[in-house]
Amino acid sequence: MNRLPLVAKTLRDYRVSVVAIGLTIVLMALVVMLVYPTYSEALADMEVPAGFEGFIGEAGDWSSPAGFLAAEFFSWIPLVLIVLAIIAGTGAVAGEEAAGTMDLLLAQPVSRRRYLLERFAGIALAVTLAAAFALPGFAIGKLAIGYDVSYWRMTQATVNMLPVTYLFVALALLGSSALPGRGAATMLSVGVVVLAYFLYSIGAAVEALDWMAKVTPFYWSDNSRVLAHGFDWLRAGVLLAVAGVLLALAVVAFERRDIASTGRAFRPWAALRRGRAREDAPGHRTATTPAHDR
Amino acid sequence: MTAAIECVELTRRYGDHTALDRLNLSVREGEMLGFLGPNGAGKSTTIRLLLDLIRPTSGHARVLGHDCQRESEQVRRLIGYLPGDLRLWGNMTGQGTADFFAGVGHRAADPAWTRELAGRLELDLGKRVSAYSKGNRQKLGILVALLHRPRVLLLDEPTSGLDPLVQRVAWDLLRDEVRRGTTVFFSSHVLSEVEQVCERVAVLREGRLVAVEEIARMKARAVRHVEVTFAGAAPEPGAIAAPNARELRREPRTIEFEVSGDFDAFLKALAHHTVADLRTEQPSLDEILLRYYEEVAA
Repeated sequence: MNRLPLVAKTLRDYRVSVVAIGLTIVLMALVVMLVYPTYSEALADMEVPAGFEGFIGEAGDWSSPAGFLAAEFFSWIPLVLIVLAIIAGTGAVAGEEAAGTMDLLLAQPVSRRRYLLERFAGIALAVTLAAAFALPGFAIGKLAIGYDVSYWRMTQATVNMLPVTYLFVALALLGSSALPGRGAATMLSVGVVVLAYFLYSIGAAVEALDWMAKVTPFYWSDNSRVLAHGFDWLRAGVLLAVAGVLLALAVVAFERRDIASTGRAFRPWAALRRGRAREDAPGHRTATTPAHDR
Repeated sequence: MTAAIECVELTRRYGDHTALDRLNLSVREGEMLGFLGPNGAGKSTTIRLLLDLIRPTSGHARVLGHDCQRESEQVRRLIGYLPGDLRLWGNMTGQGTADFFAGVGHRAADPAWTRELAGRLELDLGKRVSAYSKGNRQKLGILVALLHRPRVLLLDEPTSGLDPLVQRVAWDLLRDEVRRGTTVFFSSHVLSEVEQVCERVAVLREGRLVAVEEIARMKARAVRHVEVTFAGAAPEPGAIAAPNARELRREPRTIEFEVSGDFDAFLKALAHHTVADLRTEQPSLDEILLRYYEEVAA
């Protein structure tokens, strides 16, 4: 018997996405490394576009192998992983509710905490597998052209993409546990990504505003730093701690609330609105089916 | 004896709308109880409260002695559930679905029992759920509910979408479970079906329990129309001393009565006269329930 069926189901549900993203990652790793020799000379004379410094930051300049890898690969591949994290995270709770499958799931003897933690583990594993595709990509690239960044550093930077992604898995789960419906959860998660990305770009470019960068997870997951100095346990630890707090909040929110019945989003204010509507129409007695009881 | 299901003042409100209003209900172990009421009466709300999918505003419920909120996981270990609007994942096979639900609850499914259930329901577990008809999906839902041989079955409209032949198979299966001591609590609005399979029903209307009664007694108390033809001229009005009979129509030799409650008293009163013919109709559960609903609404 499968001990972790929800983990297995999550992996199964997203296996196509994991492979698709994984292949994109392999391909991008290879392309970035293969085009570097041609680009490096041209890049040496080129200004780094404003707002992009943060992603190259401590890896030297854009024309260096580490800088190029930071700017062309590690600046955006984590975002792809985060998108998968958000899709799967919002799907795990609000998605199952909207699909009407949550009732039967939670009617089984599984605690809501366990449900959420298993789902988190499944999604975390899925994004980890997708990220791991970078490793063979880098290996092939390195064998082919001998890129001047150690394979160990590349591996560390690849691992470093994960804590920030886990953080967004937890955020998506929190959104989907505390907010009405998958749409709201997605809006929250994507909103945070966009805002954080924006703040990080400004903060990294303007020294006086560097606090702006520091409040975003992207500062704490700076891959250029890892490529230059190695894996930073402290920064990764901060991200994992925040992810843990968000996940704990998600568990609390999910444990306390009602599960939406088939095909309906969980709507904390629906009852209030219905109450008002009735007051608006005095003397009108509604005989329709209440929304919460089909 | 512990009741299989016990609801005490169980209430659920949404703002100013009361979906379930102080429900007090006790279901005996090994009983098959039909839970009746129009749509929106609170049937699904009750079932979902028992499963801790939603939380009561006040009151509490127990399943085999375990509190449905505080000991929810234990409760759900004892329950097999079929949702009213069953949804499954199209990309899984029937077998995969069964294994998955067994796994989620950390219960080992008995392959022989699974095969037996699939065989009796004539369900091909090798197919994907997306390839199933609505009836087959419902069968799979019934199979999943019965998979771990639960002691209490909560079935929300179990036979909806099944053709009559399969309905019969499903009820046979459930009756076998009842014989083993399983309690079956099911909601329905198909009364003919309820009449056939269970002895007792609970009737819900607008969140309130309006009756819990044996169907036979319900019928006994129901209003019947009786057409009596006398050998001679019909007796004078008031000549038949039955206070629970009311004259509806009178012809020279025939009177139509409406008899409520004790039918025997009416027959005894009638026996003083020479009766040539007597016609009465079995009151249908529909009519009885309709009357219940109207009484509450009035």
